[in-house]
Amino acid sequence: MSTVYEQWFLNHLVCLENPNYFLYTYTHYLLLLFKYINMKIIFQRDILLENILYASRFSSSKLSSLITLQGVLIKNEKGLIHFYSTNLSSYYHSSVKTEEKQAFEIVVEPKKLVEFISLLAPGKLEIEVKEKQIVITQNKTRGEFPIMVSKDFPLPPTIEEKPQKIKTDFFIKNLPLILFSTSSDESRPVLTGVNLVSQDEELLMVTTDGFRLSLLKLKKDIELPSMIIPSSFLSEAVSFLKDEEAVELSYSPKEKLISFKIGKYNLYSRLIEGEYPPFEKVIPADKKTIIETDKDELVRNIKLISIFARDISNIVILQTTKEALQLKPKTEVGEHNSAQQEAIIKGDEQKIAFNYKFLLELLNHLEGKKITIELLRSDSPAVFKSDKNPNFIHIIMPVRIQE
Amino acid sequence: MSLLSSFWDEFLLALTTNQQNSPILFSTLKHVRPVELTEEKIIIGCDSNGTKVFLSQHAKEIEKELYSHTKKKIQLSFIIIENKKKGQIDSPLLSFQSSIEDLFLKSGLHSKYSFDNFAVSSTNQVAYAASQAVSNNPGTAYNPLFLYGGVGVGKTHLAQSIARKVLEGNHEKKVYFCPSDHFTNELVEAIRDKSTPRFRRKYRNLNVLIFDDIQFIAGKQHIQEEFFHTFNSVVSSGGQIILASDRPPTEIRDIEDRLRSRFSGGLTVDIQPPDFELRSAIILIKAKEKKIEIDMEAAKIIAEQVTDTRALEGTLLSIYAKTLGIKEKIDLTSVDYFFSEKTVKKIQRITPADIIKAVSSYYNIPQSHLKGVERTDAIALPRQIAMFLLRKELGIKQEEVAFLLRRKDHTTVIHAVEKISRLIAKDPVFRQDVDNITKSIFPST
Repeated sequence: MSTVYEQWFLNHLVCLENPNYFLYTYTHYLLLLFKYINMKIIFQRDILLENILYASRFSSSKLSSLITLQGVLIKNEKGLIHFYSTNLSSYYHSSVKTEEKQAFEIVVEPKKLVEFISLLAPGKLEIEVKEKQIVITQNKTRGEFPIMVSKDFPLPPTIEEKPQKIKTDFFIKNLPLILFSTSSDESRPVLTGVNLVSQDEELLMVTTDGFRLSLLKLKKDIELPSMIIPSSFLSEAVSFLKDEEAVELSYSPKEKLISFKIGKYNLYSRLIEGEYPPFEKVIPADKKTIIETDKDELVRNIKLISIFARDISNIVILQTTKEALQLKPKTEVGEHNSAQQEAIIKGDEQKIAFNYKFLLELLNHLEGKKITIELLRSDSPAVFKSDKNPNFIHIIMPVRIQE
Repeated sequence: MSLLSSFWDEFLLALTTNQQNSPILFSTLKHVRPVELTEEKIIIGCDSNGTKVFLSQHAKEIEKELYSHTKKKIQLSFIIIENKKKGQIDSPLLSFQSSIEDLFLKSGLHSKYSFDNFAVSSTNQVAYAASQAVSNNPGTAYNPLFLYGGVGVGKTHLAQSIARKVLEGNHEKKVYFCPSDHFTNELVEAIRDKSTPRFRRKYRNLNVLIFDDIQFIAGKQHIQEEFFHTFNSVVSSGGQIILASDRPPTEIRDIEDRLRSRFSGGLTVDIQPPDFELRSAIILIKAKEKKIEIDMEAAKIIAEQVTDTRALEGTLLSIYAKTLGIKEKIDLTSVDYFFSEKTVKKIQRITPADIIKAVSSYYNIPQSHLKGVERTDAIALPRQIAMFLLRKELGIKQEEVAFLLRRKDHTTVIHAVEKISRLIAKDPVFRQDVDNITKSIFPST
């Protein structure tokens, strides 16, 4: 315990120099005193694993120096053990009931911990909170994990607004359609989010990474204003949905925050601030060619052509004839690899080139048997629609090809 | 910038001693950069909203640290900055500029209309000049610009040319060419689908709104009301309104006074039917567009024979089709041949009796009355129309016309033709009547 007092003493000196800090530091070290009283908590392995694992998904991963934020805060308060994590943009909170009355507050690094716990046998395990580490024991197995400083660990803000219940179906059905086309480039934050546009009777969901764009038009069953929600948060949230029927969604305009209460999990995310690029003007007003064809066959053919295309440019060229769609890779002159499939084609003959990855990614997310492609010119965005999702359109910018 | 970052680095260095107290705050501060620093305030650029909110919550502490570091009271504020890398190319889809043709299409414009292919003569030069002025200063020159004139005088052409020029000048302008029935249908649909707000957004935020055939909204209360509000919001936000009609605002019946007064609030210009010279010029322009070679003399003959502007093009094309493969270009003889053939055919097909029958059935009076002695207005006018049509459509001699309708001599016929011609020019409703009768005589054309 001596180190604690030494530190306390040192800090006290600082406080004397700077009286503003006195109160702050003092109360904190009182808390520290609580913390270092050893105690043992009994956990079911699965419950502990689940909570730490889920929490670790919301901890900071990219900023190497924010070590504390890479951790998970575990806190005992009024008969509940809380798990918190955050990367300052999104927050995670869950809690488990406990018999242990003694309050404590620790931050642990989750990666090794998760790996360790997951290898233990199912059933009970014991956590011992010590001064500088926690000790997890199960039968004869013992693991020690260091504790990080828990001071100023940011907790999720409180939301005063009333939550509204939304069926999980809504998210499970719609989000996968649009989430894949968000950008992962942090230099343009707005594009990493899902743009929610609330207008009249409609709720639009838009994502784009600058090469393709997904637009979902929904009837406005949910009362939400226009906002940009980080897509990484939404895709994490989707994974929490599978066993639940409804989500309690709250939105705080003051905090610029949205929260999902899914069962016992509370997820929060700050909204992305900024101007979403004017996506309406990207949506083509006209079409000169409509291609209607079988989706699964198209997937197969694109995969076939991609074998040749990926060596050089990842470009697959689509060419229409009267009754068929021909696909070939953009490769060296003199090669004659191609695939062809039946299609109903209306309008002018066209030749257009795409990055095959964009095509595949889209087709993998679409339901339905038929796909419709609408083309205007070889250098203007192409529109993709599916028979199963009439309120969804996807737009891909073609690649220029030299003739 | 170097001064800024060196200040910040020094500050962070000074903070290291306190790192133990608030590790998260400290390491977060390491990841942000000041973007502006003055004696009183410092603006910190954050990469996300989360960082911004977190730092704002600790603003007091940071300010204190700043004070102990600089001994100055510095106020903190935060903004979110996009750290765009230099030389980064904007993404192709979002920077995609739709071609001007697409824009025309989106705006309801037809690419065939432009100022370049608009022929100007004394009958339309005022309208032309006004349109030029509007296209150069949309929203300010004349607002609204009200163009009116008969069929085929070039109202639509001028209105579309204005829109085109505005759009060519600035691709971002929101321009919409709206035939009035389109507006009506869209509004009805919007009411049915309960999507009127979208309808309003579409129309009320326009920079240039062109409303063709405005007379058709006459008598439609709700449409007029919606149009009234559209008109007001477009004008008040500095947008230009161009209206085209077949008659001046004062003569449009069943239209609310507030609309009428607004229509007259800008510049009202009429376009006269094209004179002979203009018609010749139009033929030459059309021929050039269609790459048809035509003699000047031949063009004049067509311009003499055909008064309707649209018919000019039709006639030109029919003559071209006839000469195709026989002659290299349209000359006098082919034009002469075409018109002689046409009149003979016309006369052969219908008889004077057909005309008299058509007139009597249109006005619902027995043929015997037309040929009778009665001279009341109800009988005399149809009789005069019959004379007019016999002369104009069949080219029958005056004496013969007089004989057919049991009149004494040809002076009655001369008077009738003059009177009807005058009425047609003056009264559009009357012209409609005559047109309808003519149509019933030539059912297939």
